[in-house]
Amino acid sequence: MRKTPIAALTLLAAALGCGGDTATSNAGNNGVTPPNGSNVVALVVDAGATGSNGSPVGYVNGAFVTVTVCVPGTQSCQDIDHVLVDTGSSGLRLLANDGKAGGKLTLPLPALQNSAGDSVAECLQFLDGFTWGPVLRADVVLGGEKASGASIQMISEASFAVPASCASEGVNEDSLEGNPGLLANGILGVGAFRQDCGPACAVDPALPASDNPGLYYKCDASGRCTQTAVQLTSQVSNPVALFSSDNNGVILELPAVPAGGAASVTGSLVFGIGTRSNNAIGSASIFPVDDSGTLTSVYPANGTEYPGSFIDSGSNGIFFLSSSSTGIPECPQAKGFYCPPSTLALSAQNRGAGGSPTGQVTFNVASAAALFSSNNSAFANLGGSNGGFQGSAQSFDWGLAFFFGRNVFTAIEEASTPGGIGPYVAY
Amino acid sequence: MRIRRFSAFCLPAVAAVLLGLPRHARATLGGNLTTVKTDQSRMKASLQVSSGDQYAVHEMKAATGTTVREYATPDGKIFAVAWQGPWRPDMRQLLGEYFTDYQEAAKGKRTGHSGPLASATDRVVIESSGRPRAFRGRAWVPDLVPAGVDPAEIR
Repeated sequence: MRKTPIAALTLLAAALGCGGDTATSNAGNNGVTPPNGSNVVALVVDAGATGSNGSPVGYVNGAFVTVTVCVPGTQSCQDIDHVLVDTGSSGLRLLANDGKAGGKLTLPLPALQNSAGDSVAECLQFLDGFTWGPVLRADVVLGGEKASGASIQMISEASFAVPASCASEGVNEDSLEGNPGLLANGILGVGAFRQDCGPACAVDPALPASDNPGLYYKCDASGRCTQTAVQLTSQVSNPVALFSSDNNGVILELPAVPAGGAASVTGSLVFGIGTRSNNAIGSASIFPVDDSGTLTSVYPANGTEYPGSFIDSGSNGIFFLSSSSTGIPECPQAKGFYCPPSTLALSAQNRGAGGSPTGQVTFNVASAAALFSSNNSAFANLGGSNGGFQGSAQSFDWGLAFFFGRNVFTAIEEASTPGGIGPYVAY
Repeated sequence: MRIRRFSAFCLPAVAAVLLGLPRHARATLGGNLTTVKTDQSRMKASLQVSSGDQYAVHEMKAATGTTVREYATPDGKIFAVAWQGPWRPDMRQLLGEYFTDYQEAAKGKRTGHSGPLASATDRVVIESSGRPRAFRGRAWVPDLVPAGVDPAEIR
């Protein structure tokens, strides 16, 4: 299936009144007038980083930026393209070009060391598994903004082998390609939290009732790594929170895409909320999130409440409930995605973590199999089940498909904005 | 099925360690109830037990804020586990012999970096979603689930 059937599907969908891109609650600026300024970098949704065969690795609904990292205080820098922008995590992680990882980072950055001179490494949990590698210090430059001396993670096993306690978390996301491949040269976590872990990781893990989850390790000269505490200011942190200005959050601005998707889409990653004329919150609805970063989704609109839902650019589709509760068939091949026989026009509500406000969201779900059969990389109507839970344990994961045609604000915890104190999401 | 809470108690982690519970566990999912104690010790967790006619739920709440529930048949076989919290528990410990199934399922995932995981084989069903600071998941062994128990009860 290529262009003609897609066009036919589009016409059919339009005839049925379920044409894709206009059915959003807030059309945003649709990318008509991209903002300019030193607080803006290009946000690209395309097929992803270049793989070993010279072609893109083939990411669906990944929003990427180019990040510049520099040896702190110097002009010795490296640009890293295709770093995935993730509002669901905090901190910059870059794949090393170490002969195995297949990433880009070669710049020799200084390691973070503890007071005993041991190097610090990290095992950060993600849904797929974990990223492992040393914590390094870098100046992180994004457009005209700079996070000086930020802690970042280099994803690599070259310095230190993965400890058993880290390997117990699942699969190691240690390479660009392969199984599982990161399919990006890194992850730029610009979520609602200042650090990836927070206060718990600053508590001595050896204390009997320690709430330290054991993400950080100290590694001695022999290469042996053991779990350790790392103070907040040394933890891998959201670089935006470290900027000298425009540091209270971000906006992801992506244009709407046609029902059949688009090969590539360009939008903007804007730093700061209400700090300049180009990042005003305007009439966006503001949804406070709880200390897990979650809000409540309601489905169908005025139906059942699902707390624990979240808006997350690091997920690719709109994942919600399960096939058994929505009645939408899953794709036989594309596991976890929905394959309705014709495009569905659905509505839900989002509700702030404290119970208000409540806002309507309309969204479309097309057959993921049909979408994937095109060569496109950006789809607003890609949906699937969210892990298959049942009852009130179900939730919504509003992934990148939700972001098209919207300006989505993520305000950082404890940060002051014209829309109130973070954390919140707004659109 | 009605679950009747008949006992609830807490053990500080220190006490668990002093009791000499083994630090290294046998399989949990698919294993025996004795492994619950090992999990509790490793997680530095409080334990609450709810028993019904068809199964008992051993709920552990760790200091990290993560809750693990282990579902055991009357003869002490753990047929399901569920987890929820800012960080996952030790998945190798929790899933035991099914840990490799979990790894294989993660490798086949195509939902973007942090999209959900759902895998069902004849051996084990594994479902997981979330991102840092908010993870949630469950797993069960179809062959071990007691007759008449709806997997929807596993959460």
